[in-house]
Amino acid sequence: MLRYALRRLLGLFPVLLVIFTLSFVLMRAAPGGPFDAEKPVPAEVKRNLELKYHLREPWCEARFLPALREGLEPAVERAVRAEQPWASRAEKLCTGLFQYGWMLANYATGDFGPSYKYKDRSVNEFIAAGLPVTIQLGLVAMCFALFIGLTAGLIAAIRQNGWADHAAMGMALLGISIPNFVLGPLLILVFALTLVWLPPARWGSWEYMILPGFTLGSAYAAYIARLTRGGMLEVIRQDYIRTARAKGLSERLVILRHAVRGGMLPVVSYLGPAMAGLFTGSIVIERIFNIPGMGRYFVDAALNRDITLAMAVVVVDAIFLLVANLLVDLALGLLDPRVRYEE
Amino acid sequence: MPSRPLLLLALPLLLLAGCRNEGDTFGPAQRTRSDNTYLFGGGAEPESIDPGLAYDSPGLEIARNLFEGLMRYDPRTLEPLPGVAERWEKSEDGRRYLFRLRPDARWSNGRPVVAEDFVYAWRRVLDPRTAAQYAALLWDIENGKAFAEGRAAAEAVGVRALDERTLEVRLERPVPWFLDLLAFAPFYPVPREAVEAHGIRWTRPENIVTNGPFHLGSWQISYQIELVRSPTYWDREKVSLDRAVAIISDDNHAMVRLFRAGALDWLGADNRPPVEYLSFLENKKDYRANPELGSYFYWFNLRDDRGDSPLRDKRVRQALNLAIDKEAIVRFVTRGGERAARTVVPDLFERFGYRPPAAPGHDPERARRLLAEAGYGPGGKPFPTLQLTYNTDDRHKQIAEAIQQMWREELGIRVALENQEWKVFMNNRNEGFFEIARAGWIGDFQDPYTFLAQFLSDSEMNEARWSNADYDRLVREALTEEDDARRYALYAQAEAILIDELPVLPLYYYSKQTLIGSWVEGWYPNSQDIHPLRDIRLVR
Repeated sequence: MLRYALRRLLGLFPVLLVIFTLSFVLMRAAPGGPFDAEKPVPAEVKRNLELKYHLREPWCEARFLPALREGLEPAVERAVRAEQPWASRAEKLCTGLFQYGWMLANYATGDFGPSYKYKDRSVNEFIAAGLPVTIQLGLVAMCFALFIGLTAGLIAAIRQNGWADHAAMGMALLGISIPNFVLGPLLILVFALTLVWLPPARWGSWEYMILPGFTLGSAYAAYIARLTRGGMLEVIRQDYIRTARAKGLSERLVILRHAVRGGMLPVVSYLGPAMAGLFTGSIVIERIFNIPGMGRYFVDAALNRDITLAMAVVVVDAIFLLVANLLVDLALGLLDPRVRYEE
Repeated sequence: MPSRPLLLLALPLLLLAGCRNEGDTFGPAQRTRSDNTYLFGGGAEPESIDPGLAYDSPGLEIARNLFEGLMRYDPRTLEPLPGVAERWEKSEDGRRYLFRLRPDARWSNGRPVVAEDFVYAWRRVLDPRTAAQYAALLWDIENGKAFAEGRAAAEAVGVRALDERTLEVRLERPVPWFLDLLAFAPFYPVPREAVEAHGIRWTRPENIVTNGPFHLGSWQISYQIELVRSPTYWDREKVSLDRAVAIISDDNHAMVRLFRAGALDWLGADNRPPVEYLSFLENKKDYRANPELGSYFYWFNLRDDRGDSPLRDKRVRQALNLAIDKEAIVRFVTRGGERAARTVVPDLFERFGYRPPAAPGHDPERARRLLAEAGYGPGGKPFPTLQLTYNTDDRHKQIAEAIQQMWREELGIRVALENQEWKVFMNNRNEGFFEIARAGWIGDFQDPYTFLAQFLSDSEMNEARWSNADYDRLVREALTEEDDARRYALYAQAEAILIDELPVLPLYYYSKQTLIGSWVEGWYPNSQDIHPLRDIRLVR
């Protein structure tokens, strides 16, 4: 099992490299740059900015478009590029390769580089500030989801086709169908603005975590409830449960000691993708509740063409998801005697 | 699980309760906190709070309260008041200033603010290695542009310390609004010792040294920035607040909710109530809508590579302008106190004596005549479908749809609307890949020049690539005219050309909507939405 875990861990690196490369290519291919704004900065200043942030490489310019070194005016540069489209493309490709190498070298030392938008900060600081909040939010949501989902699923399975089952599964259907951008504002309206029990936005002590955690977790609670119910119903009909019952164990023990372990398997394998969902779902929740997590940079950094920040968010998330999936696979091995880690 | 059915049952009841009769304020009628801490919306995470690098308005707002330039803003009129400069002299030709610094101006580390601090700060902004986005504002200083382009040494720049308390500034040409500029962040002094010791980390709370009314207490990314009253500021007796906290968020819905719950004293300059709130807020005591120094308009693409575009005919542009009922747009679409625009320079300079040129209003009859003269319409050529591009945003979309409808009904012209993500939009507009494109312009200082400069032939911001020699000559002549009346007369002549030629279609002048608690004193509505914290007081 240790060998298996190690092999999987080593396997993460090529996957990360592919993710890094793909997202870099996509970011570079998007039109517009980080320094385009309604009030354009003077050409000289923009050039300096681009040099500073490796969006321009003097070596590439000299090699492919020597005319650019003199012509600073954007109009002149446009004309030069239009005249020599192939040289211009080659120059861009060359600059891109330089930038790719520069970022990759940074990543190798654990440095995500400077932010293109936030001039006083490095990307590492944004991740360091945002990631714990996003993880915290995800964990709170996961707790809500597991607690509500497991309880509801168990009750529904035990009282199959009773009113409790129908009520729980009805709720689950609602939970799956109500999107979190509807549920969030509704909860705010009720608990923050009308009853004034909980704060309407931001992040801090435990009161701040309840509404966003519940909103984010609700859909997962619903899935988990359905999965638990399904898993339990399947397990309860197995021979070993009948054996346990025949041995005279109390129903409580049969369910909690024997059935739950098997019934949980679908839930556990669902936790990997659920982590992914919690992470991407937090983009919306972080906006609604104005939470200073990392999810907001997914969208904002890409829109701002803040290449370094956007890529760091993608890579950190990828690491998080890959590790979460690995942990889930390992946990399945512990829980399910049918899973083996042999070649 | 029982919480959820209960909740769902309770929802309709609670929603009804939410619609109960409202008071005459949107937020709390009384302040809900008793501390002397002012909480305000700070907008998005600032790009930088370094006065030399700050470029976006959240960053400039923080820098403005941490640092003080030679001048500072009057909270009512935004006229320059003496800041670090105690008094000053201007030469006859308007090209040389002598500033005498006040002896009690101090940095937060106790060191006096000296003339050399300004010399260092200004050269730093100009220095190409700093890559400051506002550097061009300092190009009017003698050899400023030359130094920025590497053609002159730093020592040649026209700013010198004659002694510790005397600063001499030489300009390339007289700049009528130079004193106004001195209250703006790129002109603030910066502490050399901190900048050189800590690099980009010098603006962190643990490293920063400031000379303004406030000091930086803490800075939590995308969460809040805390400002604490500075014990070393020369006018500290006048500062009433103990602390001020900028709550960072660009989500206007969340901020409006925080205000309603009493967790904000002021919604902030960079947050505004979402448009769907406006009619509800109209009669609330804590709601304000003030004229803002900004214009909303559409560029027509007149570039040479668009040879056969009907827009290149002036009469077509005039017809498109006349066919729009701008009053209807501000009344029914934007709804936040905006004013319909006939010209590009906002209607805020009239109090200084600016007389804008006469411009026609809504006149669909004349619009149809002009279009027929240009050879379109019944009996003429069919008018091709126009492409109108705007950046993705509900408000821009609603305005574009209103105009689309007006042009179709009044002129029979079809318009295809296209929204683009912001950076894509900016790229396409700069490169000329558009036919008609939305634009907004917020003035940097209180002179019409800040609006008129973008239509000069050689301006990179001139997206239409419109060019008019008379216009260029008039604006350039005005540029160095120090007498306000004569300068304004020249601007008015220039603007008359602009609204006859219409490289842009002016739509409305911005208005700034905000929410401010009735307990806040020292907050005065003004056209650039600048409200220095040193003047804010919390009462009751």
